[in-house]
Amino acid sequence: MMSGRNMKWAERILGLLINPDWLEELLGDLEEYHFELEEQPKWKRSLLFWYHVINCIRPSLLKPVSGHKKLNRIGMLKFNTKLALRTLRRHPALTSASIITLVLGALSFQFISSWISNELSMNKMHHHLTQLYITGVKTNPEADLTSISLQTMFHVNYEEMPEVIAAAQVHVYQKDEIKLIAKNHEFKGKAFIADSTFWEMFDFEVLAGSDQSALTNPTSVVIFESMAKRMFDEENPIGQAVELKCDQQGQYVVTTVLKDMPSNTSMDFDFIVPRHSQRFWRRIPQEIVLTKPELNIEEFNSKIKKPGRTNNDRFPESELYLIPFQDCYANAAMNTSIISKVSNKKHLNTLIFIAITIWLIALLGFNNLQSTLQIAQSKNLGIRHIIGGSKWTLSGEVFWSRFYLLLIALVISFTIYQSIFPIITQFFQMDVDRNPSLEVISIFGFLFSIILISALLGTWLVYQLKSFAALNPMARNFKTPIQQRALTTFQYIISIVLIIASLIVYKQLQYMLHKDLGIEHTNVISIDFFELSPNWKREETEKNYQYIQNSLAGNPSVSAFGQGNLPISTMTNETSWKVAAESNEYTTQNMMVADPSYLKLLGLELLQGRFFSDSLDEPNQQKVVINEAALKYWQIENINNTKLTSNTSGRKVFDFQIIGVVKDYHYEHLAQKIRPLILRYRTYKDDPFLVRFNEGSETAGISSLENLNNEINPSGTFEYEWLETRIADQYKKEQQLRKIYFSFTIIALLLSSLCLFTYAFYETHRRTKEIGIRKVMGATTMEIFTLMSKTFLKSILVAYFIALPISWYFHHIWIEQFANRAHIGWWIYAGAGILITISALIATSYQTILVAKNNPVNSLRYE
Amino acid sequence: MEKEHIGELEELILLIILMLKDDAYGLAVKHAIEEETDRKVTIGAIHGTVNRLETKGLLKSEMGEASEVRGGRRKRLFTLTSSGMNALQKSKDVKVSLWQKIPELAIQKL
Repeated sequence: MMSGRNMKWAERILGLLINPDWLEELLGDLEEYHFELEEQPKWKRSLLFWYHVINCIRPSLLKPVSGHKKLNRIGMLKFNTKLALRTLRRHPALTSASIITLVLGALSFQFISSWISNELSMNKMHHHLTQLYITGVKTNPEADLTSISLQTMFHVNYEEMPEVIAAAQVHVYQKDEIKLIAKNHEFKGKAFIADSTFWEMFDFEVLAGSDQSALTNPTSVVIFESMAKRMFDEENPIGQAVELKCDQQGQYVVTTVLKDMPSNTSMDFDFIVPRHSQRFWRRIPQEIVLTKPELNIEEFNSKIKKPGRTNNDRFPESELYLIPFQDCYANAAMNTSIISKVSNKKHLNTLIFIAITIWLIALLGFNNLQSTLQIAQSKNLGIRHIIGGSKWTLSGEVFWSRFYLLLIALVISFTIYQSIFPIITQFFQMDVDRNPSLEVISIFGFLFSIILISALLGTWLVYQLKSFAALNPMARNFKTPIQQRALTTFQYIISIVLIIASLIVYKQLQYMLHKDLGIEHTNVISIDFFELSPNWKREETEKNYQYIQNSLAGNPSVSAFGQGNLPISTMTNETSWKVAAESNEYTTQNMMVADPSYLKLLGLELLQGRFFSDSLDEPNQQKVVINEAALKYWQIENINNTKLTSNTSGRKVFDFQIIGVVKDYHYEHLAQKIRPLILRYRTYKDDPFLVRFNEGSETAGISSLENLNNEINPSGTFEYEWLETRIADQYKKEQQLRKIYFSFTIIALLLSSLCLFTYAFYETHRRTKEIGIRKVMGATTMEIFTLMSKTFLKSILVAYFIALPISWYFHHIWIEQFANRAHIGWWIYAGAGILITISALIATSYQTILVAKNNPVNSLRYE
Repeated sequence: MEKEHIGELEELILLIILMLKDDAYGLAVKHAIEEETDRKVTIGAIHGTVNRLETKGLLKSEMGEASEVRGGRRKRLFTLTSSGMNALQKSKDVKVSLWQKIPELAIQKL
């Protein structure tokens, strides 16, 4: 018969699922129906038939569970749901504490893990990522890598190299160095001036306009979505004429709009300009190389390493390298402006450590709460066991009630996560995108792992349960269950370690922010009146320079001014120096630019010789001022008969006269001890100005400078930077770390207290009668209170002494990275102990006082 | 009381079973419903409802004879119990009395 195969399968499937009482007539009907469909085409026949078969699988027709006549799985589900919800409702304190634990845990975990996964997925969107390299040069074997184009500097010809698919030269212009002018409005943005091959290397998503001709057309400019929105608002940006202004000028047309790059890319810029659109760009050319996938980079690097004297006679000792693009991000292999953020392994490890800690704390807390619940229910369980509930069904209940907690916690945490996402990411300065589907999975994973472990533990407890013992009041009334104690202790160990850690981070940060740097850092700003301007504007620059000099000198709010780098500089020039006429080796040292006003402006202290002066020195002479550290480093005894030599300017080697020595001051992050520093008088007229205001006249000073800036750059924006801000910015990472530690310490403490609170709640309830009896025997309220508090404080004392050596160990590892360390006294450890005791007392005292004050008549009424 | 209340499909099936008399089994009920009311029902829906009605005590059933089109399987033949008849009657009474309470004019105005 035709119906053979369909029918056989239907019989098999339904046989598994359907109640055998009804199977026969159901299958009979189906077969008859199938027979009736004979006229229909074959596909339609099967379709209709299976539609009906599947429709037969419904709750009321399902097989019953074994041992019952009518109750099937769906019915069991209903029962279990009812039972689980009833248990949850009967213990509102425990239920809400459990849910809060799960939700807080899940939220903290999710924020951290989204951060971590963002870091780990960095740049992975670019398909050629593993084939991308940035070129780097060491001007001598000792020097740091510099990102620079090998084609321009060393005449490297990539066309001769079969391993290289393409190379693109890139000039990077920072936000304040370049602007686009559209409809008489100026828009600043970071720009890449790139060869057309740049296009092949990265996966950019084109939103509108052409992609093939994008960078080959010399008048086209490619902009990113958000920049386009800023410039043209709702208008169609394609085809709009824009004027480019930096050290070059030109007319361009917007041909392409790109989708903004996600947060997990380490490049960040606003528009791309074709490099061949102008003959010359003043920024250093850098270079990105796309190689064949099978390239062995070590072999390749050893091949190109030595360019020799023929290709570049200025830097004969140079070594050339291709540095993997991803390494520049992940390991900060080379400093390059192509990449705008760098990962920090230590930071990432801290995050992972905290994620694990949070998981552990939530796990412990949840287990603690759930086993409290189980103990509260032990009598109930015992009775049910005696009247015939199998251990299998009893542990099934454990799973069910946990399952509902999981669902509730999942929904709550996901909703909260979505709503607080913007606040939290801003607070922690996290650069993370939203990804709801992944978030659900990851929150679920977190909750599921905790719940599974706790369910297994719960089952184990059920199997341990001796029904007789559960019913025996004597057996369970006089002993605190051991696992609760252990879990509480463990939780508090983690909390104490975290408290001490965040106190230490806090101390160290305060220390660094308030340490005397050796300079007067208040009331100083750096301001740039000159935008990068084309070379032909020299005269104008000269005129403006004189005007600024005069008006600053006549300004009553200004106490001193000059030109040069802010003393806390992110861009110290690393150059090679040695003592002249001695056989010592060149080493890389920091160099900064200063002018004669620098000493007074920053309140530096002169130790030997003299500082630069307007009457004796001119810019660009071979004279330097060094700091004390440099004096010690080269063991210079007399600065008058010692000279320094630098080979950084290439083959020509100059001897520099040391005219003075300044007292050490902190010009770098305080993690460093003060390193040798060389100051040179090498300012240009269009360098930024440093201005010190008189005490109290900062606002007047700023507004007069704004007026001055408007006179000189009528169309430009007024921007300046406080030295104090620059100093604080150095410690951003530490500040972020402090925030993270602080927040998670609070969460850990909260979760621990929550557990202790519920633990105390049930413990006091359990011992109501005992306390009643004690009171009848003559115990005072105070005695009862001490007795109860002792129970809880004992585990915390144990936790404290276990936590001490652990935090001591972490303390020393962390603080070691700082050359300038805050003094961490014993009181931090003592303080943590006091803090934890107080929080524990707060968590338990309400219950204990209540039970201690209780009139024994109430508790013993039924005896 | 609760158990005697019947839903729309239940009422329909009870009526059809009455109508079909001796040959009231699942598939026949399905066909009859489709013919009389122009609505599609699945075999599973019929069986589900019939089971429910049997649990409520409105129907009783016995196994009929086997036939070849059914692959040698027997049909289950349904007949109404007296409480089934009562439920139908009650349902009809409710509707009739409701209709009578509505004046003809009110209907025409709709």
